[in-house]
Amino acid sequence: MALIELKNLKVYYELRQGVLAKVLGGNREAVKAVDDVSFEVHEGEIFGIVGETGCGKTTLCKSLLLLIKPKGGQILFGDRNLLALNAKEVREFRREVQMIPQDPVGSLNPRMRIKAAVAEPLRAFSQVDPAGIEGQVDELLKIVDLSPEFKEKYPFQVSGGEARRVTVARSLALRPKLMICDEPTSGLDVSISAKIINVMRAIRDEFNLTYIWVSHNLHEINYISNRVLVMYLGKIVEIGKTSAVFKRPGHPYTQGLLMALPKLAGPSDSAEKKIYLKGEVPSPMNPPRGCRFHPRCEQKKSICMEVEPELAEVEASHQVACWRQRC
Amino acid sequence: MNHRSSEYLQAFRKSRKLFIGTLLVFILVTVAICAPLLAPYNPYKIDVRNRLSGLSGSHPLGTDHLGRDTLSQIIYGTRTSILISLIGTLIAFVIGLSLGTTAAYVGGVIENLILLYFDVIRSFPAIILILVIVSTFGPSITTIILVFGFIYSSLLGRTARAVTLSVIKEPFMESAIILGSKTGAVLTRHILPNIIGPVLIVTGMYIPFMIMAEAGLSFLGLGVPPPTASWGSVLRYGFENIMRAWWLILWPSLALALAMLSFNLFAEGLRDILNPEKRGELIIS
Amino acid sequence: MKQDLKLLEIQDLSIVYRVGNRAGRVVEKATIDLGPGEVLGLAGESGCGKSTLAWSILRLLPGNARIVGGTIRLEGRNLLELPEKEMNREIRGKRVTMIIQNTKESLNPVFTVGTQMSDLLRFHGKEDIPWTASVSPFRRARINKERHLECVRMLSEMEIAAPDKRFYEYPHQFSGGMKQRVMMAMNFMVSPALLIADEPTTGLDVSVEAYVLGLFKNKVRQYRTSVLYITHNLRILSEIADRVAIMYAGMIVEQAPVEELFRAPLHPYTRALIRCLPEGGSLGERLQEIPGQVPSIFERTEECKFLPRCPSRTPICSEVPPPDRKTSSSHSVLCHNPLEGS
Repeated sequence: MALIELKNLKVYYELRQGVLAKVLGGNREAVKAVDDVSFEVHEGEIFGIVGETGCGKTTLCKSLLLLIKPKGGQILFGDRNLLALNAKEVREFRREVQMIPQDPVGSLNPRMRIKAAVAEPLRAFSQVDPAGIEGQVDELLKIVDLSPEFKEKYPFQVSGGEARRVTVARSLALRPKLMICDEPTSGLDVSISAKIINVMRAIRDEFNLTYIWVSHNLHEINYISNRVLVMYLGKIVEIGKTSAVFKRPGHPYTQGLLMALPKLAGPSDSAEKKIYLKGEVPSPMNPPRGCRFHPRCEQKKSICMEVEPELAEVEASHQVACWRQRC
Repeated sequence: MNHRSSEYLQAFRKSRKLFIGTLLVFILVTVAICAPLLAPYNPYKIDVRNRLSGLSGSHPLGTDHLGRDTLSQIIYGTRTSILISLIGTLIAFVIGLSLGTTAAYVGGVIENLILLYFDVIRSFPAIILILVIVSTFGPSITTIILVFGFIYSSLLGRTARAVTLSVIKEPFMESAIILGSKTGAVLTRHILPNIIGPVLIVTGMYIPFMIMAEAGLSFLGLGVPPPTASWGSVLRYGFENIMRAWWLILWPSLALALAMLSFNLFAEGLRDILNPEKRGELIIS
Repeated sequence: MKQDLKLLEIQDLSIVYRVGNRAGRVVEKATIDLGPGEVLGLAGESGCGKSTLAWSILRLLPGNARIVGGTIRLEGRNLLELPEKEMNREIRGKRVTMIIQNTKESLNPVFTVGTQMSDLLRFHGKEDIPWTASVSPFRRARINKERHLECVRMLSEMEIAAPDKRFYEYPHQFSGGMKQRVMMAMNFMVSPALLIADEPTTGLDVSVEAYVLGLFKNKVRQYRTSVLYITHNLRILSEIADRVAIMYAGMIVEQAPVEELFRAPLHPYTRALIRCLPEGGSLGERLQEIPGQVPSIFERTEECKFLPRCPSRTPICSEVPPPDRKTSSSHSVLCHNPLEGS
């Protein structure tokens, strides 16, 4: 059952041009942050999104939260097209999709106490009378394993891990259906990351949530997600069940990422670790023609430089966008 | 709630700045209000026999060229200064804050219009503007208050806009929208508390500026209509009689300095106490 | 004697931070050593004191920090007794260099990369001619050119494309990974005896991190530099370190060759740390957490700092400070009840 479905989503950032360029008629350059992306997320699953800087995952999340207006495509939530909602409906929709932000401390108003921060969504929708709000805040903090004494604290008085839990509690207040988790463990120590992951799993089970889990930590994605999406320069290069993608990566980029991953098992076996991904992560300003990955690809063919590959199934629940996989 | 008010109280007691500042402001305001009770003489009473007499038992601060007691003039002058500066600043604060925040938040054409208003006002040399208005509407305290209020609203508005712009970029603003907060809530609970610090400082700076400005205008004869007692007018008399009556310059200058100091301290102290981090530091220290 | 072969020997180092009128124990009786050409990983979570330890080697601690005990010997000399002038002239940037995480702090944004690199050569090279000296301009030009070539050579050695063009560019024109490679060039250029790396790849993308690490590993071998690599990422150490020291709350709790440490950790904290990793658990299981919190630097006592959170604690742990046990010539643990090696 698809909870949310993206169809041909295009999010472009137009570059502002000077008057002279407009007059002289240059072409309108746009950064194609998200370029024709389609996928669906099933109810109750943890859907991972993997990609490096510039791949478009942040833009994708922002469009799902209706913070950015896409240039084209559809986002279907249930049976509603989110891009066709009016302002009032958008606000109502916010009850159903929430986000765990990447920077928890920055996402908390430094002048607001934790109590007020967690109560904000409740107040926004006038859900409970002022007396009941305190009770709800207590309950939410308890869910993320924070004692009530945190209520009176300010963001600068809590640690990174605690702030992260506060944002989780806050997002949970409206009992959303879908939570977009933007790098939930970035910047956290290993032991605290473990705690956060456990908390989020428990919440998912208890409240029947669906997660979109964005992370650059592939070990984490491997552990926690059911399905995963790999993005590169605004396009999906691979999508499928996590176990399949990690064990039998189809796209050279995915293969390169997995190879580049530092592993605990010790490299004495792979004394010369092959680095497939040479060079820099490219900028999305001028994507190459044809397959966007071809300049860094060791396995390219001539067609790769001309025509963009489409996603094609390589096994059940596993699709790859690569010419190599088709033949 | 108990927890909170005691926090503020503790910080207040610990903050020397705020404490002294509030005390001084309190003194000034009290002097202004209780002027008739405190002044030994009627400041307007002319006593030509005693003109330009130095410090003495009956006139501790001396007299001016018409024999009016300087001490009483200073005391009544406090009234003028406080009245003009406080009300004028209030006007500037209300107008400037609302326009500045709106400009930054709404943007677009409205922002441009507001900025235009700010720029137009600022581009007029203040003296000329005041001259024009005073000569059109006649000199009076009300005129001065209004003019000051509008002129300073542009400066305050610019500050408010700049701070609002930087606050809007913060991640918690995005979170507020995602959580469904409405514009009103965003403005009052997110933007306002975060801009109030710098805005208060600027406002606190303007109070003494206005006092100085009024003194300056009165000094030039463009300010409060004579014979209204004001620090500036006393300065003027002093300037005209500089060789014979140095005291007419000393006392108003001291009063001006004191007023500026008090309001500055008060504003800075208030800003500190409103900032949760500084508040905490004060309590710990 | 084996002792003489050690490049760096830190013995019982203790560092205290003053905050207000309180003193926090940030590093306590730390003892580690590093042989020539060896890569020692210093791992621990945030707040354990690893960065403080590293900066103390260069004596670049903040004003409120005090080294209250111990010695730091580099090639036999106690750096803590060296006069400041000699530290500057001989040690910093010459015998001991550093590469840090934040490139904005390491590269000056208003000077070109080339200027910064050649400046380094000037300060630590053999010939430096003050501009006031009366020297033939030809000689001056020749030396400048030599330096320029050297810098360009280093840049290309770090696999930076078009190095002669890049020489004249500013730091902001480089990407994150490239900036770290420039820093690496500056570090290896002076052939230091010890290179301190403080989380240089944290914040870089996965592929860039792998690339920079691979290059780093090669250069370390090529230049035979000893490296003190500080990180909280155990996986990285697995790839590049020879030995690893685990730090907790200011103390070195375990030291061992890297493979041995991860395969059979002896300290309960080390084991708990490894178990926290997602690859440690299988899908569907809860991840192992470490209950409790790191003690604040103001509340640390003589007894074992890990005590409140330790699953293997026994009564003796709260009575006597933990002993430093050597289980083999290369493996030591600070614990009353080290785990059984498997």
